[in-house]
Amino acid sequence: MKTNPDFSIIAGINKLIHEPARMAIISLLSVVEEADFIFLMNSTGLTQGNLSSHLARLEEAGYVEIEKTFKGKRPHTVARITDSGQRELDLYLKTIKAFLNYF
Amino acid sequence: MKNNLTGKTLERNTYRMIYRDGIFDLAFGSMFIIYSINMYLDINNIDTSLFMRILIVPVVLILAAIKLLITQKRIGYVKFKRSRNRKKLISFIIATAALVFTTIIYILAAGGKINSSDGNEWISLLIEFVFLVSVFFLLAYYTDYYKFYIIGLAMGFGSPVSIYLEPYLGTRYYGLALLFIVGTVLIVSGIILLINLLNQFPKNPDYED
Repeated sequence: MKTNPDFSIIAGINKLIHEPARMAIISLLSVVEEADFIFLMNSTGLTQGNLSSHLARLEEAGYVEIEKTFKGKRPHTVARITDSGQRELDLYLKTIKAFLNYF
Repeated sequence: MKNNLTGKTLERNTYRMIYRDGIFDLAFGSMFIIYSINMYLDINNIDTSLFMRILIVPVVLILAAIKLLITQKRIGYVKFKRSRNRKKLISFIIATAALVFTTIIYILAAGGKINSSDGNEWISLLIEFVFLVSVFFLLAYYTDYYKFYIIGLAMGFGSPVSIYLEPYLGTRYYGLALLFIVGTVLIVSGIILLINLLNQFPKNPDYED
């Protein structure tokens, strides 16, 4: 039998990850070893500016690490999820799943 | 709802991005068409040039160059996890084993060591069908290139269709036609995918942050 929903579960959700664009970025990075800026842009459908700012937010939080190099004269940005990012994503998914069980 | 959120579907869909440029479709489509043309020429005892026999080699090289120099840059760089490398290795082993097995059978048949025309033709056809379908279905599973399912069926049904329709239709070309049609479909699909990719992901890797 289902009990009344515990809304405090959802209140404690990680809002940084909950944002759709960042959710797309971090979930994609969680299933690969690493991906570059162009691949992330093509896969998530985000614009250059959007992707750049969301990646920066995720990097600030320590969820993603970014490596900037040069390929010839062109900058090449590669992103990968950190252990902390993976843990937060797992926790986020677990929380959402627990909440969805009330439906 | 599933208990384990492993992201398998997301990983699979992400991996399938590499097929978005249609290069695989173009490669397999070309193989089918060149193979069926060569078979047609053989059936009709038309002597073909060596160029026609090995035409697939330059075609595959050109497609590989397009992938490396044009489409891969537009799709972007991604490195997958170890589980994907394991799947790639299994695909490679299956493909190599199938190729070795087919070569051995071909050599034995050419040397007259095995003969399928002495009343048990249907058994060899059945073995051929099961072999081809199993190999391509396994490859489809491990590579996540779902068109291998269609390719497997086309390859599997190729010979039986040719042989069993011959008494009714008076020709063995129908099996070849099946391969030719599948090849054409793959090439059309490849061209559409390639054009879409070139339009969708313009060549401008300058837009790095």
